[in-house]
Amino acid sequence: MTRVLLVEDDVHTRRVLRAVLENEGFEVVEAEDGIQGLAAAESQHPACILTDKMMPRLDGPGMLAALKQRGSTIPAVLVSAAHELPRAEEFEAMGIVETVAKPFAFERLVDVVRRITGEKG
Amino acid sequence: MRPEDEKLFFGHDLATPLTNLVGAHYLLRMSLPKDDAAGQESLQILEANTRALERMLGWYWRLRELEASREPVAPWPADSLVPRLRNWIEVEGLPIPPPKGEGGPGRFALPAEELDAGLLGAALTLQAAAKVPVAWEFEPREGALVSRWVIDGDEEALDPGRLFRKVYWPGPSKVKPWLDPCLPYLREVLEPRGGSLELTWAEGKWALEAALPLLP
Repeated sequence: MTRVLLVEDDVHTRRVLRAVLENEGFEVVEAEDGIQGLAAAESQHPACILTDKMMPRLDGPGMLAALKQRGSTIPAVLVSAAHELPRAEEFEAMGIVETVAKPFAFERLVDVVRRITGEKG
Repeated sequence: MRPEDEKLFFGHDLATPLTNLVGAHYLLRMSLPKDDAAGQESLQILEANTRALERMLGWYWRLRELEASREPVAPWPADSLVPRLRNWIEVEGLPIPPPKGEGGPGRFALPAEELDAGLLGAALTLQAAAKVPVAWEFEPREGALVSRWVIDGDEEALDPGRLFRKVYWPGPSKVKPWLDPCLPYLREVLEPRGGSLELTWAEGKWALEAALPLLP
């Protein structure tokens, strides 16, 4: 089963995203902020990271930049409000392969995760 | 509210509960039996209201951003506008007919992305508010390119007094009204830069005309 790391501080968003992704056949590992996400990415070896941008302690871009510095090649999807999304030239430094603006269509998010992980669903 | 707080509130804080509503709707839709009439109706209400909130907040936020920024725009060719709009309609699968006519010669100093959003939004808004199909065409005029939407027939098809503030969306759901501040947005794109947006009733037709000013 393809494992996805979900890093999101809002408990309802986490619950909904977990349910949607599990329903589509993914295994979901959760983290509540960037610090937890960093640890989970290194211990759980997910095929993809789905992360919020604004989070307490360590935000999504900070977590992704730290992972990249440590040699991680895990592809990441950054989910956030439209005006907060980083510019395309910043993506590579953070390992971001796709951005999704809130509020988003869940069908689209599932398609993005499927495409990145190669999971047919 | 301070501008930075407002940005955080509308751009981020409200986006999260809206995302959760969309997600809850998605999960319910997958699990509710089709023959559960009350459940399906609740689902429809949830969906319609979530979409309405999403659109209202989206347009409101875009309007606030537009009011806050008055940066000069590099001129761009007027004849690229109509093909770009047709492409948006096709790519996004928007439920509006592609506009007729061409841009003609000349250049605009209007913000392109905002203009596209406003024109497409106006077409969608009118289509939603009118009870009959809306015709959309572009026509060069002295010093401007005019985008015109024409609604044939019933004077009651639109409520002009409310159109710039409120549009009633005749969707399949029982949930009405549907508010959309899209036309004030288009007006805000045009008027500070010498353009205009006007709704008229004449000879049995409603016409909304957006005059897009060309550079001299």
